[in-house]
Amino acid sequence: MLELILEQRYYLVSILLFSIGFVTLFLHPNLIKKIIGLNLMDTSIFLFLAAMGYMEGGQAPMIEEGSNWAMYINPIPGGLVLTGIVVAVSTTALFLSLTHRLYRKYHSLNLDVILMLAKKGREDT
Amino acid sequence: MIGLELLLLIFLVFCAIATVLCKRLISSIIIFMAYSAVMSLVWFLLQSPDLAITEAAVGAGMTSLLFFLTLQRINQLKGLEQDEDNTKR
Amino acid sequence: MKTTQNDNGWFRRILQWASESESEGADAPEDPEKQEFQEYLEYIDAHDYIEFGAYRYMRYQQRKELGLDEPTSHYTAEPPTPQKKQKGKKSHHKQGVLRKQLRWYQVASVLITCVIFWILCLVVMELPEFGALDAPAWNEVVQRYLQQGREETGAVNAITGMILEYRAFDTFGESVVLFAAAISTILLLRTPNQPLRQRKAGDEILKELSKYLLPIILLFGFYVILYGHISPGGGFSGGAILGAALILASLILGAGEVGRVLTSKRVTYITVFSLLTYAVMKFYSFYTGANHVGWEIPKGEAGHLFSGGFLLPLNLCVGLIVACTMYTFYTLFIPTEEE
Repeated sequence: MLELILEQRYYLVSILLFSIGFVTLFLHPNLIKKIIGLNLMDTSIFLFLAAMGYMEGGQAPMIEEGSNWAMYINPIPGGLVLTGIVVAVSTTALFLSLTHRLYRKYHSLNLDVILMLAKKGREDT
Repeated sequence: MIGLELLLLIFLVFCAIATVLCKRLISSIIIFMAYSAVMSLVWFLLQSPDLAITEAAVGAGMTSLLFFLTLQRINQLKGLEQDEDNTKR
Repeated sequence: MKTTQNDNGWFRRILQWASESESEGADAPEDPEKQEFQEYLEYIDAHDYIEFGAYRYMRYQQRKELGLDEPTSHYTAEPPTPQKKQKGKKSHHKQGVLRKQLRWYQVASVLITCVIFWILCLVVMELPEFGALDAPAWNEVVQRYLQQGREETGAVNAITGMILEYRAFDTFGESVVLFAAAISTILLLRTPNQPLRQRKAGDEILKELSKYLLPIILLFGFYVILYGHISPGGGFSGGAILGAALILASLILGAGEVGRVLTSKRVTYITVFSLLTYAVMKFYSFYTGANHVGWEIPKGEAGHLFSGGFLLPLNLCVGLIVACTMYTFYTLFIPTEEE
C-alpha cells in the first residue's frame, strides 16, 4: 500500500489539491477565496496531466538528430497545459473583475451577504 | 531525488490548506504565490521547462498581482484608512 | 464534518436574518450591522430607492463631515468573528426554512467532495504506474510527433512544433479566448473619463535598478519568443515574460509614462493585428498543404533561427497577444483616482 502511494504520489497529490479546491469553492463564503479555490483546481488538473506525460528517465522534448524517440517525455500534455495556464489567468482576471463589480454594488465580498442584500433589494423595489 | 519530490509535493498540499484556512486575504494570496513558485519547481522536476517558465511568470507573477490590485481597489472603495486589512504594498 | 456545526459568524448572521420576523421584538437590534441595515430600509421607505452601497457611502460622507471617525464598514473582506452575545439568544429562535436549506447544502457539499475523492483514489490506484513507458498515453500519436516531428515541422522543440503546426487551430482558439477575456474585462472595468492615479515617484533605488534590469527582462522575453522552436519556451512563455516586464515598467516608472506609449487603443490594435496575421498565415499553410499546391514555405535546417517555416512569426504573434492581454489586465485593475 505504502509503495503504491509512493509510486502514484503525483496523482494522489493532484486529487488532494482538487478536493481542497472543490471544498473551498463550495463552502467558503468569501468570493476571493472561491477564486483561489478555482485556481487550486486548475493547477491540480495541470499537475495530473503533466504527470501522465512523464516517463522515468525521460528528457525534455528537445529532439536531437537521429535519436531514439523513447528517450523523451510525452509532448502532448505539455502543450495542453501550456495553453491552459495562460487561459487560467485570463479567466481569473474575468472573475476578479466580476467580483469588483459586485463589491461596488453591495459593498461586501461575502456571497451570502450579497445574496441576502440582492433578495432584499428585489423585494423592496 | 524522490525525497525532494515528496518534500515539494507535501509543501504543495500544505500551502493549499493554509491558503484556504488563512483568515486574512492578503496572507492567503501570498501563500498562493509561494504555491505557484513551488509548482514551477515541480514542473521542472517533471522535465517540462516550458511549463516552469510560464508558471513562474504567470502563476507567481500575474495572478497574485491581479489579486493584490483587486484587494487594493476594494479597500479603496471602503473609504477606510484605518482598516486592518489594508493592502499596503 | 466540522463545517456543519455552524459556529461561524457569517452563518449565524444569516440564520438570524432568516428568523428575523420572530426575533424582531421591542428590543432594539444590538448588531450594528443589522441596525444599519434597518436604518437603510427605513431610509428607502422615506425616500426613493437607492442601492445599499450608495447609501453606505452617503452615510460615510455625512459622518466624515460631522467629524465622527468611527469605522462604518462592518462588511470586512473576511468573515467576521463570531459574536458571543447572541449565543444565549439563539435558543429562542425558531428554525427558519433557510437554515435547514443551508445545513443541507453544507452536508451535501462535503458528502459530494468525499465521494469524488474516494472515486478518484480508486481510479488512481488502478492507473498505470507513474513514469511507465507502457502506459496507454504512449500511443502512435506521440511516436509520430517525436519521430518525425523534427523533419515535418522543422522545430527542435517538439512542444512548439506540436502546438503551432499539428494543433495550430487549437492554439488559434486559445488566442481568441485570451482576446475575448480581455474584451469582457474592458467592458466590466473600464472607466473612460477618469485619469489614472499618478503614483508617487518610486524609490530612487528601484528606478536605478530598473534601468539595468528592465532591458534584460525585455531581452529575455524576446529571446524566449524568438528561439521558441529551438529551445524551451515559445509564444506563451515569452509573452507572459514580456507582459510581466511591461507591468514592472509601469509599476516603477508610473502608469502614465508607459501608458503614453502603449495606449489601450494601440494595445488592442496590436492584439487584433496579431490574431489576423496568425489566421492568414495558418490559412495559407492549411490551404497549400491540403491541396498540394507546392507553394509551401521551406522548412529550412532544424536548429537554426530561420527554420521551421512559419513557426517564428507564429510564435511572435502568440507572444504579442499574450503580452498585450496581460498588460491590458494590469491597466484595467490599477486603482483609479475616484471610484
